[in-house]
Amino acid sequence: MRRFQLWLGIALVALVVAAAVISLFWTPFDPLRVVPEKRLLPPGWPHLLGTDGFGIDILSQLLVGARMCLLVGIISVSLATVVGVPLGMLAGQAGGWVSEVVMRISDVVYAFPALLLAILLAAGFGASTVTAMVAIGVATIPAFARVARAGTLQVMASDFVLAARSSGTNRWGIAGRHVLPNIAPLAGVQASVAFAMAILAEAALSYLGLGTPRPTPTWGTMLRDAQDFFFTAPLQAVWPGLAIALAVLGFNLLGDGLRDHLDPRLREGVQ
Amino acid sequence: MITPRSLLEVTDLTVEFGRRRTRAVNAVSFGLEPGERLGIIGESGSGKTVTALAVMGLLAENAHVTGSIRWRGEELLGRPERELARLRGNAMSMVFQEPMTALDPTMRVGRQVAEAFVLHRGDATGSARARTVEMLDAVGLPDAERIADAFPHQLSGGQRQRVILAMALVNGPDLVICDEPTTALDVTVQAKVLELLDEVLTAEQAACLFISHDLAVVSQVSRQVMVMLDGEVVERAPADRLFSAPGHPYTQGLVATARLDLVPPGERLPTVEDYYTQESRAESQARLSSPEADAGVGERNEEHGQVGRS
Repeated sequence: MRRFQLWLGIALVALVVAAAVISLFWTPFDPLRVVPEKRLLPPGWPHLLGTDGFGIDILSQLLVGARMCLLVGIISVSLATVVGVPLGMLAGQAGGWVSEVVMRISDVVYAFPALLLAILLAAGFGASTVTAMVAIGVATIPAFARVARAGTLQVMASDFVLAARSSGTNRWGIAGRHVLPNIAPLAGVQASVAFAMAILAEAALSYLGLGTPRPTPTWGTMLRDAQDFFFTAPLQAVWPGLAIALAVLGFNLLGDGLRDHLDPRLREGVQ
Repeated sequence: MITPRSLLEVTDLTVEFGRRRTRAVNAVSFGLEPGERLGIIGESGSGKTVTALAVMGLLAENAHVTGSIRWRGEELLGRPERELARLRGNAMSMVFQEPMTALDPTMRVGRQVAEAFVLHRGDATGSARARTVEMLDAVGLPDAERIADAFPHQLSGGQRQRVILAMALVNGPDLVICDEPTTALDVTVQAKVLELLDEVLTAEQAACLFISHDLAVVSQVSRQVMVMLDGEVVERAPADRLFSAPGHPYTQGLVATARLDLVPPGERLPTVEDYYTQESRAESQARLSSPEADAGVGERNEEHGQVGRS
């Protein structure tokens, strides 16, 4: 069962990645070209998933949308990991007032809605892919800091850290060689969950017009456009919705499977 | 007995924890000559491990340590962490109780043994790997090359404890502190590890502070034994004299409970309380402890928990 979940996750993520890569070289039709005489075609040939209200091929848009979804996911999750994990480790290892300061700031950011942050950024710098990525990334930092701190506290209380200290390892050595490898599976799981959340957040932001601006197609803007024809062409909303759901499911399953795989104790099936 | 060239000289060591200053170790003094071995015996919460951690300078930050710990005549208390780290793992090292938890599960054991070596010797010549394999071989692990590449969970408890021993000995330390090194092992493995410990300590001419709650185990490794109770040393004597003529009533109880084979079948087995009652123990505690350290035994155990060990 565990295996099946991991492989299903890998398959779904691979599908999204493949769509993004293929879109770089080839799409069935031009995803930007408006063809008024081909508006709102039902699925069929040559438009496999039909066309939207501008007469643009939906499959082509979906392929290009996968690219944006991955890009935003990768950048925002990387930002959150690179900032959040070291902060959490610092809080966990230093303790005392350092921990208090880091965690209280993190609480403040946590309480601040990502959407509000995105609106603020969009107001200041204009709506763009970059502002969406920064907003999602910053809003996700506290989650990583918390997970990293909890893991660090647990590792710091372990006998092997005491043993490392009794061998003369300093705090940097302990952080790099003992704490980081032991909390990496935790951070990995958090990253996969955050990736799924980032895909959802990106869709929501572009749906509201706060993310990637037109004409670049994203799954969020596709949903927004489909809304206008909800009663005449309901299938048009199903395709991007399905794409978002499958991508989110895929990253969640992948993260779960990865956690089991990254932990050497579970990997070898001993104990 | 303490001479100026003592390896380790602990005088009036007192350790208190937390704001309420709960006393875990009270005015403990002992000395160690180079190559000498001293056993410390006592029940859980008697302050054995706290004493050992104090010598290593590894106590939690909420510990107040007073008295004096001299290493080759130089005071260790109050020295900066960086200087202590230079001694740790190099001149003095520690063997821990739990072979299951004292090794990092994410690190190959060879790298863990090499870590101490590289920290103090460097690995410019690439000699760390060779030294690691040599050390794993010396602690009696067959096929040391393969073991060095194994993860801790792939080894048995006895094998792990040997790895931990190799970690402690890789730099040829002058003092090895063993904190109940065989408690978590079954009796046959325990005997082998003790034999090995005796062998390598002799080979390295290292001094040893051997902590255990088992009188029989302590007497296998060291001739001198110190008995601790409620944070204080109640008796120090050669192991054989401790067995034949225990002085303190608590020690008499320990010896009696260690020789259960002498009890005629059908008779009630002796307990420590037959010799040293809770009342007299509480009395002596009240007499010896300072007014602010009025905590009971239970609370002492809790404080030990704060440093992660007891």
